[in-house]
Amino acid sequence: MFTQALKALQANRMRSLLIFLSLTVSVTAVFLISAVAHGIVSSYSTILRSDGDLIVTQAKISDTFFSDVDTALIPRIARIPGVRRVTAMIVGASPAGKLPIVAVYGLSGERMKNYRLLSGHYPKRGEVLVGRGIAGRFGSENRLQIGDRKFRISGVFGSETGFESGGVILTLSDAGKLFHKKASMLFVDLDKTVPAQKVMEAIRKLSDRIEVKSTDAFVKNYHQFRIIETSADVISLIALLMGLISIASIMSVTMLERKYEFGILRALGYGRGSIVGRILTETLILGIFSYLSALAAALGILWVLRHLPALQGYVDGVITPALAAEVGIAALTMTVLGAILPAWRASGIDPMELITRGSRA
Amino acid sequence: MIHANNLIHFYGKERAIDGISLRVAPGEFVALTGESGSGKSTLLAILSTLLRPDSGELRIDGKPAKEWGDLNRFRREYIGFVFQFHYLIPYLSVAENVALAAGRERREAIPELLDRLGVAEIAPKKADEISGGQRQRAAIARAVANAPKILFADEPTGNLDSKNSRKVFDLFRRIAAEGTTLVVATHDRTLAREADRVLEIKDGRLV
Repeated sequence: MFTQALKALQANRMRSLLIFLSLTVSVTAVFLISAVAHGIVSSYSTILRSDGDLIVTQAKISDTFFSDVDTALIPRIARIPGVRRVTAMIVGASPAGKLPIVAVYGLSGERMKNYRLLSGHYPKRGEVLVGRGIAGRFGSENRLQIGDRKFRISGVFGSETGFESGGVILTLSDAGKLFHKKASMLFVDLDKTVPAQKVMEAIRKLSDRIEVKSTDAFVKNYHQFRIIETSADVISLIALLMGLISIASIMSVTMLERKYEFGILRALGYGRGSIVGRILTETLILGIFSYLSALAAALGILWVLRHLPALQGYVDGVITPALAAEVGIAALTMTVLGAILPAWRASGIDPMELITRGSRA
Repeated sequence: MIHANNLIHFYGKERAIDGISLRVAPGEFVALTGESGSGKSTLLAILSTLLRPDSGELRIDGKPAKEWGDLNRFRREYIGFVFQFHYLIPYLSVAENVALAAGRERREAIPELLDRLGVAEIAPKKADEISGGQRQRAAIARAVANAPKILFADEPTGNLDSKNSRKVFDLFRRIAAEGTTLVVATHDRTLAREADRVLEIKDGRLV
């Protein structure tokens, strides 16, 4: 049946090509949307997870960008039993030099060591360390305007995370002046001698203007991640539905063209299930080829996006094996759903039509 | 082999088959003749189980309709059908078209069958690579690939010239000689005389 299915696809080249293209375009779109969304979530999660067991933010804020935590809490938190270290970070975005937007990370001293120094030294007051992703964009200039302030470029750092590689780091106090806040969030390392829950309760008692969560809980429940992931799911679903409608309409026309082929099979004693099976084999072959082509196309496009200087490495899509498997299942389900109704209708042709056609001939 | 009793069938209000009764013995070659619209194709469709009559009884190999069980399986076992148009699947070779009808256990016998029916030389060719007569002979090979007990043919020479029509009827004679029951509808009375018995149908009745 497989060989005959391949021959049928070859014989109906135009419709095979149309189904292949609509499937490939839909699945590529799903891959890109999901991968980019996954990349954004993954990049920011990596930054958040890089240090600290607990995250302290301002209470009742929708986004860490708007969070302002008093750094006076740092020594008080550090004194709580079970706490090993407390660091602070300001997350912001600002125009930098000729670049319209750059991620800006203000870091307390110890946290800076998390970034791999490629050249120069870690920034002191009035200096910035530039990510490798954008280092080439400033030419030979050694000063960089960020917002309304000018900084000396102290060197270049490397990071596997697109959001970091395409950004700059500077001291917490300089970032505080830029964004008019003390810290976006505090990261608390625990020495595991005291249960995390107990430490969290102790931190909460220090101020009613803060919120404390374990890093895992924070990442899982972060509102912005949910918005990004839900939006990506909805757009992916629309792309899949468009693909499904395309397949169904192309298949309907094709089945009409081939109805005598199925009529003769019925006259030869083939059941409807057997005919539907033959048609689904053809579309599944197309589905598998389209899926593989879409995967290759998406990987290629993501590579280009990642290396496009204008995007500064911020669009860092990731296709994980789990995502590849999910999209694969969705693509093959879409293929079957798009083909099954036209196939079922085609399989119901009455062989009498073959006689009627003969009488008219 | 076929026992029909008082078959009646309507198309709308028009009585296409009007109380036909007939018997066809095993291995018999029967030709159904009649003018266009006389009802021979409808009768053939009823006898070959492709069409259910509005009333009357049809027994095949002694079995009434209620004992046929799964109709697809019954057709595979008992019925072969040749249409006026060949309906060969265009992207498959003749041998592959024939294999479609042959059960798995008969696939190995296909080359011998094609040889016996004189179409071995066109086995690897597709429908658009062979002549009209060859296509119809390939369609006959497909119809008998599963060794059906009865072969029906509806105007099988309707699109062929006299030379090819003769070849098709020669083939039918050979198939009948091997023990297959044959019922062929044709408006060509000269060819019909090749059959063991000729039944004429007019206005839905045997005359």
